[in-house]
Amino acid sequence: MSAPVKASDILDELRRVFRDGLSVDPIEPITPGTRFFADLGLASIDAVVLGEELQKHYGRKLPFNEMLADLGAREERDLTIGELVDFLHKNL
Amino acid sequence: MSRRGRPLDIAIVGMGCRFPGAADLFAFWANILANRDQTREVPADRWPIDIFHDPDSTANDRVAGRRGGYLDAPVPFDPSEHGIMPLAVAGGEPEQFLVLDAARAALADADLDPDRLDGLRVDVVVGRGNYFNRGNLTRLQHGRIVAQTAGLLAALHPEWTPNELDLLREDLKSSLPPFEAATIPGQLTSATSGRLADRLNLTGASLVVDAASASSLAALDLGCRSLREGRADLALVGGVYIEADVDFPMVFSRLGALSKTGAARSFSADADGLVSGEGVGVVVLKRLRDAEEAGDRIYAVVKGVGLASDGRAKGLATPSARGHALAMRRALRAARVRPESVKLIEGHGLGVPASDRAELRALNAVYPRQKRSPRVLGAVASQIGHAMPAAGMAGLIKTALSLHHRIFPPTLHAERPQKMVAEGGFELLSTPRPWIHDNLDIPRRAAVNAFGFAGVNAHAVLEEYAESADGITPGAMLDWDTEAFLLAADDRLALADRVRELRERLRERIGDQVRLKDLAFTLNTEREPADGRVRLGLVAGSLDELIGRLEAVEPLLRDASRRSIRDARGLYFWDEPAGRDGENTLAFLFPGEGSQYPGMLADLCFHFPELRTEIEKADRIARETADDPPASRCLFAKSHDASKALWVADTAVTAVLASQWGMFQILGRLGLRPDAVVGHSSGELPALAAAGALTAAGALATEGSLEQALGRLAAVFRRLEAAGRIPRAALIAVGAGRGRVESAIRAIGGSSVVAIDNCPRQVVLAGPVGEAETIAAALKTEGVLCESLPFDRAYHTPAFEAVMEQLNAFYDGLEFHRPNCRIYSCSSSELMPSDPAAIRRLAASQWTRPVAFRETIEAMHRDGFRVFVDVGARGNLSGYVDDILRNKPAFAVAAHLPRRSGTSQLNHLVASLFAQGIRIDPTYLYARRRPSRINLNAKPTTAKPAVGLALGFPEMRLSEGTLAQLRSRSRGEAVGHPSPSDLPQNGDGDAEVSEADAVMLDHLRTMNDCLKTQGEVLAAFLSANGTGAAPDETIAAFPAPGPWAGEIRDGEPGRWVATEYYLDALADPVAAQHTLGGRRVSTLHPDRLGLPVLPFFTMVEMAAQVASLIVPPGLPIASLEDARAHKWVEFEPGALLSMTGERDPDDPLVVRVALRQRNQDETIEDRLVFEAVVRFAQQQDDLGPPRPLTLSEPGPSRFTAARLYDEQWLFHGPAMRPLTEIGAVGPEGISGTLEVQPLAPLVVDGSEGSFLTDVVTLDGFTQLLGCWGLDMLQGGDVVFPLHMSRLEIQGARPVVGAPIDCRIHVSDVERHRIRVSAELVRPDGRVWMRITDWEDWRFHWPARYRDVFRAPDAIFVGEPLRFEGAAPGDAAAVWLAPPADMARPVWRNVLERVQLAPDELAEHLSLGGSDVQRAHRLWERIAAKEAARRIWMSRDESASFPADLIVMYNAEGFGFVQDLDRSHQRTPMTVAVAHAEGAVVALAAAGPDARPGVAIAPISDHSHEAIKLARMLAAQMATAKSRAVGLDAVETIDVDSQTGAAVVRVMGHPVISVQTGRRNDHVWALTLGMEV
Repeated sequence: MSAPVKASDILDELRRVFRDGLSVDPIEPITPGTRFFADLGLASIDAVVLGEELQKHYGRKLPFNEMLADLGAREERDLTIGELVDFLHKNL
Repeated sequence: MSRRGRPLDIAIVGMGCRFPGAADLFAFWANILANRDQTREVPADRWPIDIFHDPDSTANDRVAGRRGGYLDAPVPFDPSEHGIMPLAVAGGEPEQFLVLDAARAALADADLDPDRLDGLRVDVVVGRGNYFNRGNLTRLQHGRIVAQTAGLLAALHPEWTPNELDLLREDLKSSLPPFEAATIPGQLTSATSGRLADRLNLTGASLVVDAASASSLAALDLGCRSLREGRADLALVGGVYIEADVDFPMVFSRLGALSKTGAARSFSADADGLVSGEGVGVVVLKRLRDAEEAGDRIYAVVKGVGLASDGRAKGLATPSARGHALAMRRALRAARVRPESVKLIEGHGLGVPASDRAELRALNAVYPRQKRSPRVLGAVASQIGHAMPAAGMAGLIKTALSLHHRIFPPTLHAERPQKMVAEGGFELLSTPRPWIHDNLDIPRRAAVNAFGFAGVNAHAVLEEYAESADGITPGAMLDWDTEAFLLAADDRLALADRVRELRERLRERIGDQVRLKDLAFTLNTEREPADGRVRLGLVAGSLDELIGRLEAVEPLLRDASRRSIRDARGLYFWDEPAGRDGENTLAFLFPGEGSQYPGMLADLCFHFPELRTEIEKADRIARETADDPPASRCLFAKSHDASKALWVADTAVTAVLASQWGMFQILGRLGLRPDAVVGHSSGELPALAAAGALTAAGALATEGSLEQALGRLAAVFRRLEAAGRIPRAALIAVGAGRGRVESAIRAIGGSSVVAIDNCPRQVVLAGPVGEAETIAAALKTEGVLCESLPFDRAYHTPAFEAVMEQLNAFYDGLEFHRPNCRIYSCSSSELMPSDPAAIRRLAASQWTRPVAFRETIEAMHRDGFRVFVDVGARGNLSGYVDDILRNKPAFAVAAHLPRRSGTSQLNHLVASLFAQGIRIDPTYLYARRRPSRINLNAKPTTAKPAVGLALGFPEMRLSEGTLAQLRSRSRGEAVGHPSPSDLPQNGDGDAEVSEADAVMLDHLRTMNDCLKTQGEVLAAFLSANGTGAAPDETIAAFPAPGPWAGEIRDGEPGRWVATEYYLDALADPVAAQHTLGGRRVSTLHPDRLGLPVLPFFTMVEMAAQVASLIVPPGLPIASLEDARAHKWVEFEPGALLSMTGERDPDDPLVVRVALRQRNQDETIEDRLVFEAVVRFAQQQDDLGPPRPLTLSEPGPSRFTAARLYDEQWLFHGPAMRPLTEIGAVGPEGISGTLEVQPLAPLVVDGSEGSFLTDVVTLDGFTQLLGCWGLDMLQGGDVVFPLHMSRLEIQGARPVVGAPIDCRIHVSDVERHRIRVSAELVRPDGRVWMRITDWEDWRFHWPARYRDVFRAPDAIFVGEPLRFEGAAPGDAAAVWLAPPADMARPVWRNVLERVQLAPDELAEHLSLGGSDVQRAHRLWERIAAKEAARRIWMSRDESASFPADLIVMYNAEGFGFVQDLDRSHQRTPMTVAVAHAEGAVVALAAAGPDARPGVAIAPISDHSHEAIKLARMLAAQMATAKSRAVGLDAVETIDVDSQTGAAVVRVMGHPVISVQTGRRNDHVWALTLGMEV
């Protein structure tokens, strides 16, 4: 088993992916409370890109499928970065 | 013009009002649309809740409910503005002033100058009741009540002299509003209308009408009659009610009609009564003919009013459906309107079940059931309460605005309507809905109900003013949720300067209540945005937010390396935008089927009739062709029905494409002209129309419209559908590129195809049902996301060839023209030819060919198109474009998105396109919102102190002086003290507990007093706020909050502030530095820490930062006083601190701060956790030389600083370890050295500059004090802060690394408290900080409870129990009885953290239960683990962290303790646990087959016999558990009281050996189930 990944490192990595992979660099820092769609202005296709980037970075498959399917089920709702960190924390 | 009706129709041309939560018409309407609950607890000035409220009493002077809709205080009223004497206002009836105020607002709304009505024939009719109004009550109080009170007191106090009774009377009277000659006219009822006629010099009739709750509509009837009969040319009609006293709540309680739950659930199945309401409204009426001639704005037309009495009915208090229906029929007859045509009813809707039923019976009798769609019913009473005589005015104004804005308004608590609602074909809405109207021959119509006590009924029928339907007549929806702001300059630096200048101007004006839309209008329609080359677009929802964005963007603009600034919350700037105006870069995208969702665009319809009109056309076509359901119903019906219809009905697609067409109209009015268009699938039809290439031929009213063409297409599909001829396919959206999907198809040799290629990461797969799903399943196993689409027509596949004959016929029926801009085809992936015949061919052929959206967009980009606008409602096409053109110069934006309001996304569109350099004219955004230009260079106005109009009960009070004088005369009067009986008391218990509790009680009592005082101070402050001195003019805005001040939520600069700080353990660096339970918890998860808790001095710093927001900037803190921690504050998900700072009313440099803990789910009440008073100074006092620390018996400490940290005597993280040396220690105190540490590691990305104290150094003081405790205290050596009387600071913070001498003087040591003072001394020997009267709480725990947090792997908190007959390596027993403190939430939480594995903790928490249950479950797990650990220890002698072990239970109740660390290779232990009253016994035994059994039983009788009996019973219970049999199958044969050995027989045989024992008040029994 590899060393556990720290939540704060995941958050930093997400910030990097948002900046470099999705060209999202908001003036207010991305925090666990930041919302994927409402605050970062991303579209659902960007979630797929994010998934690709993270799988590339961590070098392993992540169950994004289920998470994205779940997200698709909640049409008008949103995903917080904190939830994303939790998801990664659980699956890394 | 027959439908303009009779010349005697009456127009509503102006309206003004004030209702609960709304100071004007616009706020009232906004509240209605947002469906806000505007009721609240009865305010103190009306009636005291504690005296009158009792939900269970049937007494006639008690009230069952405590909520109502009350006007917001203060109600500003400046007598001088109206030319009224202040005395008249003080002693007069407040209702007349409310009416005067509302009438002026209504006249202004009608664009009539209230001072120029002289000589006009103007009638004034006001509906109001002659109730216990304030004026009446004032007279009553002055006369009878004063006399009665004095009489009663004289009887009780015969010792009082006549002079003293006179004094009493005079004193009581002087506390009342005046009643004298000058105030009398204002106290009489008729003044309500008379005052208005007098002040505005009106000479028509002026009168007051009382028809109870029907008063307002009765007044409307009189006003309309006067105009129709030509007796007046203008009528001011109003209604008013203030609930000054408790009398109506008493009346309604008596009748059982007042809601106990405090919510008026109009027409609801669970309604339980009405709630009181208040308000005032005035409408300005003219004859319709006159209003049209004058060009007035006409909100609505009054067609007829019907009045009726019940006649002889069941009783005056019983509502009569017959009487209601009579009024309705009369109104409809007077209006000459057929009931079928009325689509909206504003009900009386009290929420009293009987009256709602009567109203529904009447409505069902008069209004026939609708065939096509339900009729909307609602009641504003659900939102503001029942405003009695003003209720009809609230309903009338609401209905007039509904007609004007063409909106069906929502009703609160509408989730479970009464059965009769649906039976009658009515519908209650919980969100507003566009009023889509499908019949041009009949205007929209609505009706209003108002029924009065004693059987008087009124009904008014209203009609829209049809001419205003599609125009730009300004309405009452002035404010949007956000506004766009467009700034431009010639270069970047000039733009940055412009940003700064604007920000500074706005800061000055922040108190002026600048309306955001006026600011946007002013800025965006100046020359500058159009001319400037470098452009910045912003979106903000408030002035604060705008200022914040401007502040954030300025430094980025000045940073030339930043090539673009883009923040989805509302900032758009590109150094080199992709778009260029006038160079063919702008393209519009039209999505097809699949872009719809229920409720889409509804809110934009409210603001843009051009959008609503297109949907209306679709409805009209559906109606003319008898299609069902109508298009609008698919979009806007209740979401469940709508979402179904949206996917199955062909009219739904018509509605989707028609609404795109409507959106295209809006974009056009913003000056956007596409250089190219492209349609995705069926979206090609609106794309062709947008390019001017398509019109439909036809002869109907909607001739030539796109909707006409769409209607025909829907008909084609419907016919094919009916004939069962539509080719079918499974359609699956796949999150992968075309290549990948095609190879998956090839892999199984399938016939499926990629029907739609959206972008590199999404295509749509179409194929035979089984096969397509097989392919999708294969893709899913590779981690590709697949989603079946909710429709199954085989569009864009060769299979569709089968129906092309019909489709070709449809295209042949359309007229094609040469387009006026470029059209791209997703079928050919290139530019369409401009020849109409070729367009027709290509357009038809797309139905059988794949949609190559990706290639088409790539082609457009090659041709120079850079900016793409998705005209649909979902924004999926703009998302695809982002993916297709990722990392290329391009920009895509959606006109509408599901997750944003329509207005907000439109603002984002405007701001971003502007920043892209696209020519755009935002004027249209303001056209209907009464824009007015602001002079930004004007000086800020100094706000006049608002004079509040007193509305409540004129209560009598005795002055302090009189009270004292009369009291002193009455001998033997006992002075009552509040009893502390409401505080938690412990019954009996041992001496230690009661002593501790006594001290704790004392502490709580102090806190209670303190809370009370704080409440009083706050109340006094707030009341001073309303009427007191003008705010400090030097402070115009809040400064930027420090990193720990939280986000500002509310406040008034210079006066008070409320902020919120999220306690987010993940994001807050403090969390990891301060963890109760230490930092060594687990080997498996080395980064697991104890429980993160806010340090005391962090809260001190928070208080300081909050306080600094409301004092002049830059001042240092002189001192911080009376800092008190009420509770440990844990970092936990969803928790936040709400912090308030209030300036001392007498001293602008003193701020009282309170921190309250809140949970976002709001089910947990706010809890005061910390408070302090912060004193700022122009200059700090010199603190003088330090006090020498003299110790009588100085000695070295047992510790060094390094040991304290390394051995976890302190639990602080690396950033909070300032202690470097421990000096001498003695009973009188301790000294030590602290090194100043950097503070930056404690904030996310803040600088140290904003800190006002030094949290780390100050925490070092508490650490040194902790060391003193460990050295000097015998027991009770765990100490935590409670209170600090004073912290003084002198001078700047020394540099990082400076050594600080810390000297602690211990002044008092009690069993549960220590008190100390301390000084922190600079290297130069001067005092930097002084702490006076610091108080710590001492925890008296057995030492192992302290040490278990230092080394949970090595320390056991339980004690071993003697267990004969088993080797230590085979079994171990543990007794655990933690001190009561450990069950208190904070320590329990710490233990949970430290003792439980993560999954175990989650399971433990999910079980919930009371605090006691939770503690017991925890004790059981701790004891079980310790028993197992003891066996392992005796076997392999290696330690384990309890958090690396897990206890699992099987169905028989046996636990298994497993070591999660596999490297230990330990066999699980079987364990049995029993508990009683906080004591736990656990027995572990090796191997999964072991059958341990335990029991514990409390004993109260300590006699030899009783104990023996208890042992026998315990032995029986333990054996029953071990053998998993019932208690009756076990029999204890004997127990040896000396050794505790017992023998037990099971089912007659075998005989089992059991060990029993006694500890204080319990006996226990242990067995492994072994036979003797």
